[in-house]
Amino acid sequence: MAIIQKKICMIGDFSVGKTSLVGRFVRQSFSEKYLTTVGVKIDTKLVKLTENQDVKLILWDIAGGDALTTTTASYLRGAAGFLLVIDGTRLPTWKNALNLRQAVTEKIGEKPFVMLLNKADLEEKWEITPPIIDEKIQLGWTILKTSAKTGMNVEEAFFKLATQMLKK
Amino acid sequence: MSSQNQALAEAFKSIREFLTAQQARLYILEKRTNNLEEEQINRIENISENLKQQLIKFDVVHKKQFENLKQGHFDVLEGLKNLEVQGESRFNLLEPQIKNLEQGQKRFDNLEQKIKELEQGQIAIINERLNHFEPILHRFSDLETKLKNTELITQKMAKVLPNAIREATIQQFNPKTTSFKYEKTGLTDSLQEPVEHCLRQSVREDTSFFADILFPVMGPAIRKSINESLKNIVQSINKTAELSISPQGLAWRVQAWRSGQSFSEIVLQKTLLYRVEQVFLIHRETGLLIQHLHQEGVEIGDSDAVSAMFTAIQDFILDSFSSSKTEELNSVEIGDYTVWLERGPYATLACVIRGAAPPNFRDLMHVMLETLHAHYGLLLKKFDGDSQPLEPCLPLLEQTLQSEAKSDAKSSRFFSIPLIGILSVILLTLLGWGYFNFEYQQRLTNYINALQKTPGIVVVSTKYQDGKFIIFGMRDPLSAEPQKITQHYELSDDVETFWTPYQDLTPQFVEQRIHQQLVPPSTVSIHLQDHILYLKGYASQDWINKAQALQIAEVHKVVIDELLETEQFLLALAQLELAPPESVTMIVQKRILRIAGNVDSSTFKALQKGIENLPKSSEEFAGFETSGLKDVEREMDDVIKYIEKTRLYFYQGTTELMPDQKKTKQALQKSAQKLLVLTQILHKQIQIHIIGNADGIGSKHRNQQLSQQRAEWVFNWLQSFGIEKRLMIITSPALIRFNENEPNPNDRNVSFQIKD
Repeated sequence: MAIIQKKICMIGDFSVGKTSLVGRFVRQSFSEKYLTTVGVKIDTKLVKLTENQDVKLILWDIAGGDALTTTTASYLRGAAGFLLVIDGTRLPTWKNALNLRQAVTEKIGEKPFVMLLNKADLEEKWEITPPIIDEKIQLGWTILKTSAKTGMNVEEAFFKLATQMLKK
Repeated sequence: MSSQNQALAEAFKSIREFLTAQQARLYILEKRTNNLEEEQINRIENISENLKQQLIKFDVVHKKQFENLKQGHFDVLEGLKNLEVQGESRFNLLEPQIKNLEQGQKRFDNLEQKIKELEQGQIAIINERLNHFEPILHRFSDLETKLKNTELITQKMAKVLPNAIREATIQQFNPKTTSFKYEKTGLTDSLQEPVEHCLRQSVREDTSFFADILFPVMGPAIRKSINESLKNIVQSINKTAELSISPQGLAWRVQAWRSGQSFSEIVLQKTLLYRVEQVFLIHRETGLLIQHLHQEGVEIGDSDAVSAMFTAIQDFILDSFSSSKTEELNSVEIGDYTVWLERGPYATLACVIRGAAPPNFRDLMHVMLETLHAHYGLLLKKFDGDSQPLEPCLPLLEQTLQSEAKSDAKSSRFFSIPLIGILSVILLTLLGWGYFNFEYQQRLTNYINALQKTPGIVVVSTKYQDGKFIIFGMRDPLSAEPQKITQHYELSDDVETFWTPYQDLTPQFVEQRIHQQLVPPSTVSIHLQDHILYLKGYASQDWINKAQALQIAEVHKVVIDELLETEQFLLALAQLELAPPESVTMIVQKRILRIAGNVDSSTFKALQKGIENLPKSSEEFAGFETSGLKDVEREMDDVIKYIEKTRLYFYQGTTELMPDQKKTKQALQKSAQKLLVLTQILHKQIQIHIIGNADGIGSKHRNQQLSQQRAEWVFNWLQSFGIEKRLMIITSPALIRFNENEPNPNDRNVSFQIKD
């Protein structure tokens, strides 16, 4: 059974929960503490897609920001896909995410991605409304509501991205 | 018989005819066979060969049979007459032979038929083939003309060549289509030489062209090379400095001198111990780990994450520090480890090295990476996370580890000889220091103990300060000098002491204080018990007064019952020692013993001796005054001797003393009186014999009378001054001389004898 490696980048604005999602996914842990990521942090996780297909995800948790910096951009090189993370409680992160996606695509070409509306455990405080979301779903985007705190949809998000990357 | 013979003859004849006919047909057959096509000859020849064989066989059989028949015919002819029955049986023998012949005929027919069939089939095939070849021949001549047209070929080749090269590359580098080995037949190897030639020629023709191309590359390359060289120099200088004074260093110097290499080269060769513990082959674009190898027993983390991190670090460095985007991260130092990175177009080789690898290891890495790119360039380029197709890299990569096996063995000799030397020196120093420290501590402890044990010294606290051991405590001024104890333990330079004075109230110190205050003479002994001071012996009255007035802590009472005033003591001592008779008196004045009295000789002597034995010192007797002590017995003897020597001389014929006898008379009187006193002292009874004498003039009688008268005169005279009668007696002389002519005044005397 061959193990395929895939590089995945976490893309999104500051403090949307990229590191927390990775932490939940890789270590099944969550901390309320906010620690800003400097540069990049790398984790790996083996995902079993089918009985005969394992994928080793090399997760590049890139420092968040509203735009791509030179360094951030070079970390994207060779990524097979990315997770576009948005803080559901902050509308600007949605807009920034769209810009980021655009920038990423310009940098590394069209790559599979999954959009994650994080902090689903605080849904009552959300600023992002269903119509905005639906618009993108119409375009065929994969959008998931996730919570690094509760673990909701975290596994699914990575699993979906892995599947999309392998299909390609 | 004749009919039979005739029949036989006919039979033979028919056989012969048959045979000739057969032979004729065979001949025809052979001819026809020869006429067959050349292309068919081989086949036909085989058949005809076969047929020939058969024919020969047949011929042989036939001839044999003929011979037999002939023989049989003669036999029959000869034996017909005699052997009718035999002839019949022979005919019977011939019959199956004829049958055989008939069968042979049939088989021959069959063969002929078959040959015909074969003949016809083969011709059809040949015709068909020839028809087939004809168009081919046409096409072939077309091709020939085309081949002669170089221009056309060049055009076509131009179309094909790129694809062909690509295909060749794929075939060469795709392990699935080759046997995973890199043989010399590869495209690269084929092109190597011509390309080299081209380049060489091109450079020869126009150097500036290549110089222009290489210009942007040369700068960084030279810079990199210089940096490397500088690093190496620094490395070798460090090592050289370390080793220049060791014996091994000297040995290497000799080797350098002999081999003509530089010393630093030798040092580098000998000392660089390293081990490549892990090798990462990293996909340059994605940072994904293509292959990873590690030494046995090396702990490895998440190599995939490590690989990605290496890539991220390189990106970071490149973005952050390299302005021209050409300087790249070549090595990373992590504690004992150095990570060396070498980059190819598609893959990065990262070696995790423990220790200091020689610079030429980087060359090895570089060559390795080049080889990997040469063999697997396409696969490396197209790597998409599946490392399985690149597994054939492993044996190559392993070389990076294997080449370290030698140095691994080196590094296993962890303790080099100089290191052992240095370690032993350190160990010895430590041991020495440890021993001295231990000894010092021991000395210090003993010193403190000694201080504690010293009466009158109390150690309160100790501490180290500014390299000195400081002692605080209390000390009775009467205690032993602590400085001396410090000196005894040889710690004068290391110790400082601070003493607070106090009074120790133990009896020992109280007694010392008493001594200090009273300064008792040696004749006094001091004993302190239950706070009572007992003084024994003798001392001056002043001192006794002082002692009685003593005021001192812990002394409640002073007892002087056994303490005497010195002179009292001395007198008592003299009394005790001399035990004099009552007639003797003794007094001690200013420590002088004054002794007086009359004693007999033996007592006198005893006393004299006793006085000699009395102690005489500054605290005892200062002297002895014995003039008052008299040996009366001896005195008496002297008096007696004096008296017995004394003569009183008289005038001739009278009892009148000679005028010069006045002094004698007075002396005699004194002596007699003294004798009397002495006899009283000595309680002795004596008798003074008074003997009167006369010279020889006159008669015996007269002289006898005169002697008596003279004695009586002295007797009376002695009595007149107190000598009792009973102590005197007149004794007749032993001889009365008479009738002599010559007067002898010396004989006219009175003498004395004193008897007990």
